[in-house]
Amino acid sequence: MGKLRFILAIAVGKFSAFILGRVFKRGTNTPGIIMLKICPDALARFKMPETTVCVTGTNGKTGTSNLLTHIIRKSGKTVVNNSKGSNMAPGLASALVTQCSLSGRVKADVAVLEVDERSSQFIYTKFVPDYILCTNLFRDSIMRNGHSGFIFDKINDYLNEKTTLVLNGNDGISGLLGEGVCKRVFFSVDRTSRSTQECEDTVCDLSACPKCSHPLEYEFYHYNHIGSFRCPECGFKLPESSYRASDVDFDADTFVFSGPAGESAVLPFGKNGFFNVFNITGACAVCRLMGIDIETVSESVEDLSAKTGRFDERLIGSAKVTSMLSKNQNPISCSQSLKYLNGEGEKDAVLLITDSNDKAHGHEDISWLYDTDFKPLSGENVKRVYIGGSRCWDLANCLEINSVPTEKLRIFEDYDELASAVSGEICPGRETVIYFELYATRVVSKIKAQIEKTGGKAQ
Amino acid sequence: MKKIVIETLYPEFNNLYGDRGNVLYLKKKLEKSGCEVSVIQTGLFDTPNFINSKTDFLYIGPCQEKQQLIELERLKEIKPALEERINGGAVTFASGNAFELFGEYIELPGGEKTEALGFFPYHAERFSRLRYNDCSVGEFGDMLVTGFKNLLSFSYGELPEPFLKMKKGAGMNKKCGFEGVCKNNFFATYHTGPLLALNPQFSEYIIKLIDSEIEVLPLSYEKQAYEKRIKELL
Repeated sequence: MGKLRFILAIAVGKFSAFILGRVFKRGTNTPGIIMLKICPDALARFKMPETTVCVTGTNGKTGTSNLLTHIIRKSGKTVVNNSKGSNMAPGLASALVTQCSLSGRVKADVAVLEVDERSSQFIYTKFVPDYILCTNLFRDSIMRNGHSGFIFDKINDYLNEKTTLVLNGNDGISGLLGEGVCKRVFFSVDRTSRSTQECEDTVCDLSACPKCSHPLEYEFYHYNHIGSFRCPECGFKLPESSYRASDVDFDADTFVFSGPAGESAVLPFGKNGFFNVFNITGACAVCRLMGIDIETVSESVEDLSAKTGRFDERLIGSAKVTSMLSKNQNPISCSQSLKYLNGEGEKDAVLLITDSNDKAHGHEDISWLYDTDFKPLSGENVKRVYIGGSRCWDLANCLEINSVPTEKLRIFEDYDELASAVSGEICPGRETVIYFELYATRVVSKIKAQIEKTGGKAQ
Repeated sequence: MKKIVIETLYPEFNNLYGDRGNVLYLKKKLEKSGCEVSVIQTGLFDTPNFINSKTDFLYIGPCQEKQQLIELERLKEIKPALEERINGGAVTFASGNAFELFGEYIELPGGEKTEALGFFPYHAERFSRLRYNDCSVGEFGDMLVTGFKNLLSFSYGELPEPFLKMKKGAGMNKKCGFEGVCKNNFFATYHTGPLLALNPQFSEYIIKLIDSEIEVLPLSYEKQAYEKRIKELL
């Protein structure tokens, strides 16, 4: 009965994927949703590829999954992944159903699946991944994710002893996953010229020892709680890392990747910035564990170094306009993108990061703004800060509390007025940096269109 | 110039959900009102400042569930000093699940109970799975106080001296119309996040409790933010 149900689910899933692909010309979760309706345990019934890798963690999942897919394909293997759908059960089912036989055998050598942290129990209980790479764990969207301990349990409770975990050896939170249960391999980034002695970010999610609660001693911080630490009280520290990134060069944007077999390669980390060093090192570690040779790994990373959809930089007439997608209610990711303002040159910032009308994404709770590091906005090179949307007064209040000079602020409840103001006040030689949430995509396009109309000159 | 001392207990644990905004706001507001402010961060293994020195405002924020039980053991060691502070009328503010520390006990989903400080006749029960989120409005005297809740537990029992009468959102549990404690100048609330930064009127009230002579000056946007939220929520 179950088998029949599964075959029916595959047939319907494939058919709906075909139709939807024709009509909407894009990937969607609908085939997976339908499939799981017909056969709730479908994910347990696929005959999975020889190797399955899952990628999870708070930040860097997508970039890491894409890189992994790319390297593995370059090595000559075929890959199925869920890059076109969601990272929850329906997204995975959609990805698998489009590439399986009618009996449910997935037609690929490797599956690379990005997995939402909270979906662990609906996924790892259905099939056992050979590898789970966890990029890191941080505080994230409050309403969806609660706190890092809550998310840790959500993953840790569903791990299987047959899975090898590939963990960030600079992260004392995710670094405890699977302790005593799974085989664990660590990767880490050595001290760089930008490492600090004290945590310079607003929040540090791990300052007390997870074993004995005494203050941890950090040898250095990379950012937030990512760094190298030990507990002077009980001696706790994370295991030695097998895969390492060293010699990070911020002028050339390169670093040296090395592994336990003595293999090493100089790799570029591209425009995505320093976080990409972690993503690349983690992805390379998994590839090496899968037996892909270092030359293939190295060449593949080079191909992909500059691509990202979240960062768009363009010159409109004489105006430089940069826009960055800011992650939903995630103070760490938002703080990191704000650091871009610290770069040289005069800048105007546009913040479209909180709006109570976006109920679908739970923007009503603005608490996360108080965990966000707005220091870069106080820099002398940042001349104006535009704030838009229904919660603009809350954001303005938070900025004032964080000592951002109020003279810089331009506040608009109405997005159209904001768009006109930004485009109308463009200063030659000054870069406009727009931070936006998905709901504000329309506003960003409008600002860009209006700047285009005026040719990037102030009216 | 008036000197004001603010103390935050156990910031290595009690730093979830933007709760740091409470102290950040209070400091900014006091400084704008002409005070000199020092903020003391007291770690889990340090002796709290308020035990031996004048501390105008003591803040205890919410923490993760595992940490709550560890913190509770530390607090039990200073229970007499906390009791004396509350009875003596020194301004103290606890938010989020720190509210639970002052009740009778905390019950885990499996039924296991951990004794709490026992100052008030309520107890907390943790949820096994879901979390509770809301944006709420409650009455404190003739003031409206608005805030957020992100909880993994509710409390039950009695609130002889509640802080808020809820107009929107849950009280200390979904069936209770009241939440928090307001006794002398001790405030405990289930609200998480930067409650003080959201409520200029209530914050002014708190500052007047710290020192009635302070002439409280407004920040530039707090009133607009507050009024807009209240209007939308009610």
